[in-house]
Amino acid sequence: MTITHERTVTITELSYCSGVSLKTVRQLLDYELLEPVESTPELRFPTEVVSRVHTIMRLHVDLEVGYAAMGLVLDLLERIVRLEEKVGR
Amino acid sequence: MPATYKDYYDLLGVERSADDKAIKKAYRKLARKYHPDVNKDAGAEDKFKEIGEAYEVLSDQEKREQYDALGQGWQPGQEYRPPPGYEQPYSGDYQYQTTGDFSDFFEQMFGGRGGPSYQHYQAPPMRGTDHEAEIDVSLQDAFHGAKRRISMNAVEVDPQGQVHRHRKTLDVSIPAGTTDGMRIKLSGQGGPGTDGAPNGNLFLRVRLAPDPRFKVDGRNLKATLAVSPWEAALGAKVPLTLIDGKTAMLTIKPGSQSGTQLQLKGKGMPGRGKKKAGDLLAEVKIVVPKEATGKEHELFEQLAEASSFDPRAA
Repeated sequence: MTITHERTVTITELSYCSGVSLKTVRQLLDYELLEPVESTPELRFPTEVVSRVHTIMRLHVDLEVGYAAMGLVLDLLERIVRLEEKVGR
Repeated sequence: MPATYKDYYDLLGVERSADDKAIKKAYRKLARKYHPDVNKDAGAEDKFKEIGEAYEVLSDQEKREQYDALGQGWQPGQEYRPPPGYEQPYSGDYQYQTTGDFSDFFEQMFGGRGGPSYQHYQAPPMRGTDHEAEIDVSLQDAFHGAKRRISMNAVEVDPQGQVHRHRKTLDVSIPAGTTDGMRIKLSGQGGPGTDGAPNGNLFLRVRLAPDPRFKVDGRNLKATLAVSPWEAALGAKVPLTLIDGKTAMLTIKPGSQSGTQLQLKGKGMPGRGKKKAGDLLAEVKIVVPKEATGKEHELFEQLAEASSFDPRAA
C-alpha cells in the first residue's frame, strides 16, 4: 500500500501543524522520538505524529521530562494503555 | 455564579509558610500524578488544572501576597466577593484574555482581562513560525520588478488534530533590483499564531534563473562583447544591448585583447535602499569568421605574410 500525501506531512508541515519550531522537530528526530515514513526526496511523517508532538511538548513543558527520557516515558504510557485494555478497564 | 474561595495551600498540600522550593516540589509531585497524559482517570484533568492554578498563584510573589492578604478563616467553597471598590491590582503586560481555564475565584482575584493566561494544556500565546520557500525569478523580472501569483500547498490542523490540506494562492511583488538569495517577506503568511498572537511570516528566497546573455555577480552583471579581429586591432565603436533593452556604444581601443573588461558604471542591476546600482562589465572576446569568404581569405593571407606579430612571444 502506498502512503498518499493526504496522510503524511513533511517536516516543515509538521512544524507548522504542531506549532513547534523546525529546530525542535529536528531535535525530536535526533532523539528518535519521531519516525518518518519516507525519507526521500524529503522527510514525511504520518499525520498522527502531530498529536504525538503535542504530547511530547506537554510532558516536556508541564512535567519537565527531558527528551532523552521521553522515549521511555512514551513507551511506558503506551504499554500501560495496552495493558489496561487487556484487563478490560 | 458567585466565585467560591479556593484554598491553594491545601490544594498543593503545603503549609501557609511553605517556601518557593517546597511549593515547587509539591506542585511537581502532584502534576506528575494528575497530568492527563499520564493519568487517564476521570477528574484527573480537572485536578491537574486546579493544581496548576494554585501553583500559578503561589509561585508568583505578587499574586501570593495578594492571596495571603485575604487572610485565613476562609472555607473552601465559601462564597467570595471582591470588596467594594476593589481594583484589580494585577496588571500584567499580556495582551490577550484569559480563556476561562482558571476558576471564577482566580478571575475575581487577579482579573479576567489582562490577567495571566498560562495554560497547562496549551502553550502560551505564540507567534506563528516563519516559513521559507523558494521562488525562481528571471533576470528581467528581477531587474524591472514584477507581480507574480504563486500557489502553494498549505496544511492546517483542526482542533481534533486532523490535518487538512488546501491550495493557497498568494500575490507576490518582486521588487526591481532583486538579487539572487534575497528574501522577500510576506508578512503574516507564515504559520498561524496561537491565542491571538500574530502569524509568522513567509520568506521567499529568490533563485535567479540563468540568463543567456548576462552572468550575475551580486548587483554587477557580466556580458561578453564579441569583436572582430580588425575591430580589436584598429579600434572601433561597437553596440551592446543592455539589460534594460537600450543600446550602448562602447569604444574598443586599438590593440584590445580578448579578456579586456570595459566597465559601464551603474548599468548593472538597479540599486535598492542603501545599495547602489551595480555595474555592467563587458568582456571583449575576439571572434574570427568560421569560414572566411574568398576576399577575406585573401586579405588574411596577405596579412599573414606582411605581419611580423608573434602572439606566442613572451
